Formats: sequence, C-alpha cells, structure tokens
Amino acid sequence: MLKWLIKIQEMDRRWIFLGMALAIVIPLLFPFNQDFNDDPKVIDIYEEIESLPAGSPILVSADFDPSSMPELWPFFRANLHHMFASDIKPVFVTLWPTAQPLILPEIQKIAALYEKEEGKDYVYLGYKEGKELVIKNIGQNIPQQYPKDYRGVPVSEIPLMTGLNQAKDFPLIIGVTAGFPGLNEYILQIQGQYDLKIVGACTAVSGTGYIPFYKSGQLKGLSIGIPGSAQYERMVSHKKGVEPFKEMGKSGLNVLSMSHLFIIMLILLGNVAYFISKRVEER
Amino acid sequence: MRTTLPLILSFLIGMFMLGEFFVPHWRYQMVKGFILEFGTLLASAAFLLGIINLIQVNLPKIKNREKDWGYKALMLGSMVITIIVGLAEGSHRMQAYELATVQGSPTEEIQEIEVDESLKIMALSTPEGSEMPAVAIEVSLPLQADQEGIKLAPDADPRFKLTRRKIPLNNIDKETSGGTQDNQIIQYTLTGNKSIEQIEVLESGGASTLMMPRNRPSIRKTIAYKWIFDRIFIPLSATMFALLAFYIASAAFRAFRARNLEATILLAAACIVMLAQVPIGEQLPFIGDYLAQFKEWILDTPNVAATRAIYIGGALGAISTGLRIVLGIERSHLGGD
Repeated sequence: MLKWLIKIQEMDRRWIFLGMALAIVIPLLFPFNQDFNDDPKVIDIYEEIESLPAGSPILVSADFDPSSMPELWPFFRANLHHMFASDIKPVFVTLWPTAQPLILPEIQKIAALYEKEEGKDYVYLGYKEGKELVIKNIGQNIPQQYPKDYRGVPVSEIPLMTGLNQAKDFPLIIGVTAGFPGLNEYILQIQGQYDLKIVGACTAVSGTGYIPFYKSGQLKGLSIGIPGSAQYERMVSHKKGVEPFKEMGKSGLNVLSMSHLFIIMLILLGNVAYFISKRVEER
Repeated sequence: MRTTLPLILSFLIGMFMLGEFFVPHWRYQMVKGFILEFGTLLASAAFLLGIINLIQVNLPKIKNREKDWGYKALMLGSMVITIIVGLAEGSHRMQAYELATVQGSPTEEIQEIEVDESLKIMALSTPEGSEMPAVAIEVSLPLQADQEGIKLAPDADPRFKLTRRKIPLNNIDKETSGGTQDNQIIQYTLTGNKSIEQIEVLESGGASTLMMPRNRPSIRKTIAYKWIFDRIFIPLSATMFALLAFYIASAAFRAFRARNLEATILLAAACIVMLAQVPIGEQLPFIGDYLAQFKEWILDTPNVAATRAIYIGGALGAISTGLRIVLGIERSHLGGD
C-alpha cells in the first residue's frame, strides 16, 4: 500500500495535464446550466451605469490582450451593449498596444447594431504609449494627450468631445484591466487627486488586490474574472432595449467550475496520500 | 559632468513634479503638462530603443550560429515583417474585419422559423469595386412559406439568397432541434453576393447562426496586418497563457501539502475560495450559502488587511526610493558604480 501511496504522490504530471485538459474540454463540448448569484460588486457596476442620464459620457479604458480575453471580453462586449442601449456616449482609450486591434472592430460592430455614429455617439481616441504618464495626462488635459482620434480627426472637431477636457468631466470611468497599466494606476494617479468615480473589470488573479480599493470606496464597482463577467452579462442581457447577444461568460463558468473541482480533488488526493504514507512509515 | 548633469536634472524635475500637489496655479500646471508630454515622448522613444536593443543582442548570435539561432532569426524576421506591413497599410491596418476565405463555420441546426417573422441579420458589406474596408450592416429579410418550407419573400434584399436542403434524420444527432417533415430536417443556408461576407443571424424566432457554405472563395484583398494579429498573435498569445492552467494544477498537486499549521490554513483557505468562487460551490446543499459567506469574509477581511499592509509598505518603499533618486543618493539608474 505504501508503494501505491508513494506512486500517487509522485504521479507523472502528464496524467495531471490530461485530467486538466478533460476538465476544460468536456464542459465546452457538453455545456450545462448553472445557476449563480450576483455579486454586489458587479451589481454596483450595473447600477452606476443605469443611474447615469441618457447622453452622459463615460471614459472607457480597455487595457487587455488576447491572453486575458476569456475573462474580460464577455464583460467588455456586455458593457458596449449596456452603454449603447442606455444611450450613453462612451469615449474609448487604451494603454495596451495589443488591445487596439481587438476592441476597435467590436466597438464599431456593436455600435452599428444600435445605429450609433462615430464622433457623435462614441469616440475611439486610440492607443498612446507612456503608461502612467498617459493616465496623468488624461487626468489633467485630454486634448493635449490625444490631439486627434485614431482616424486622425482633431479632437476639437469631434462633437462628442466638446467640454470633455479632463477625466473629471466624465461622471464615470470604466477600466477593463488585465494588468499594468490599468485600474491600479488610474486609482493611484488620478482617482484621489480629482475625486473620480471609477468602476472596473479585472482578471481573477488581480481581483484580490482590487478588493481593498472597493472596500475603501476608491472603486465604486468591481467585476472579477469570469464569474463577474458572466454575472454582468446576464444583467445586461435582461435589460430592455439590449440587442440579443451570446453570453460567453456562461460557458467560461462551466469550465471554471470543472477545473476548480479538479484542482481541489488533486489537492485532497495528494494530502490524503501524504498523510497515510506518513502514518504507515511511522509504524 | 556625466553623472552630475543627470543628477541635477533628476533633482529639478523631481522637485517640480512633487510641487504639483501643492501649487494649483495654472502656469505651474501648464508647465507640468508640458513635462508630462515630454515623458510620453520618451516612453515612445523607449519602444524604438527596445527594438534596436533586440536587434543588437540577437543579430550577432544569429551570425555566429549560436544555440537556438533559428528561433532568434524567426523572432527578428517576424518583427521586421510586422513593422513593414503595419507601416505600409497605415491607418487602415486595423479597420478591416474578416478577410480571406470564409470556411464553413461549424454548422448549427436552424430551429423552426415562424412564417410571419423576418430574418434579422448582420453582415459585413463592401460595395463592389470599392477599396474601403467592410462595414457592418443590418438587414431585415422578410420570409414566406411554401410547400417545401420557408423562403425569402420576393421583396427581400436581392443581395441575399436562402437555399434549403433536407437531411435524413438518421444522419444527424437526434437531439438537435429543427423542424421535421417525414423524418427529415430542413437545413437552411443563407448566402450573400460578392459584396457580402460574414453573415450573422440576430433574430429569427429562435434560429441561431446559419450554416455558411464551405469553400467560399475569397472576395476581397487581405488586410495583412489584421491577418497577422488575428491568425498568429491572438492564438499564440492565448495558448501561452492557457498553458498556465496545466502547470498550476501540477504545482498545486505537488506543493499544497498540509505539513504544518500555516500550510494547512493556506490550503483550507485556497480550497474554500476556489470552491465558493464557482457556481457549483454556491449551489452545494446545506453548506453552499455558508461557503459563499465564508469566502466573502476571507476576501473582505484577512485578504484586505494583508493587501493593505503590502500596499502601504510598498508605497513607503516607493516614496523612500523616489526621494533617494530625486536627491541623488541613489545612482544605480545612471549605470556604472
């Protein structure tokens, strides 16, 4: 028996990889429905946007890359639907070079669904390098940082940008963040200085680091990882006036459930084998 | 002079930027904005420096055929191609949508379509002969019924065509939904003419994406930069990150052993948070609600306490290091001794 217990503890990791692969693939091939509760932090994001009157501008900073798309893309898409359906006028920026090719086509595609016109109903200012310096400049003087939008149209000639010269001219800022620079830098650099209202979505791995900001009121809402995205998607899809869209967060939740269960099972198995073998050796 | 001038500059600029929070005068803020602009210029220049450094480090290794020189050559070649393609295509490089051949996407069965409804679709369209990138359009295609099933009404947009075929029930999964007539499923295919690509059904009384015809020929020029990003960068980037899941599972199995009290507490907290974070944990009978509450407590109390301590400690360290750099005490960033 001791031999088997030692074998389990020293199991070839390829078996673990295979088990993990099955835990990921099976829920994708055979999706199942799971009921889930809405996190108050995610409800706060939804309520903050709902509380804005029609025509309000929102600054959206989309800072993620393809590797964080499974966690943040469902939120980003749902957020686009939410804003356009609520007649909110988003102004998009990005601090990550890999985000621009992802977000721009999606913004244009979903804006077309709601018959929104670029320049009047939404603006994409583009990508700027400089990380925290860009954020600092967004706080102080947006036209100085973005004299033109991504098409080369001067910001002074864009109807939507009239009167939007600083971050505090926006009643709400949304950060969709996968790392540095992102929400953390918005909070550090400009949230306190200009007393801004910021909500955001982040990956699960950085979620625990943002909870203190939510607790202290520096963040007014927070969506963490796939569960947050799925909850927000469901809220938005039930809103009147939203065009139907496929909820991608749900299938991610299935995979998350199975893979978490698998890891917990592995941990328990390893510990059981460890303790029993320790007892047997002592005897 | 080599170190003195940078030290003087660091001191002057650092002290000026510190004053930002204490001097609200508009002239002060204007100069601050000017300095920040220079900062973003420097950051952009750092990109160029990075590229030059990459070439400087890897090109000699390629020339000397050192270990893994092939990968280094591939990396430099990819970088050069992407830069050239991006520069050549200019501002249009990211506006294009899908391109090249639209292969038959995984087929989905159409559910029954109510005759009185129309097919509401979204498609990408470029007028024939135009060089502009495709734009999204929304079209409503009225439907009518006949003996065979559903078809487009005569006044439907002439750019679209709805064809149908019958598939014997024993050839497909019996659990897929669809209207059946005499043990058959009628499968509908919506296609567009040369100016249309990528059709997506938005609304049709429950129907989902229609089957696209296979081997549809390419109908417009390829936007190479977007192709490189969509077909190479996105899959590779996602794959590299996806590998983490497997290594985390392996590491968790090997490392998470309850060898002492602290390790046991860590283990228990990790398992509770992992389980309660997913719906399956929340829905467990008897303990589901308590698990969720306990998870919230772990995240809201000990986690917040520890994270705040780390942030405050980090901030104090950053203040200390920043002051040392501004005052010239710390000179490691200047290089040399």
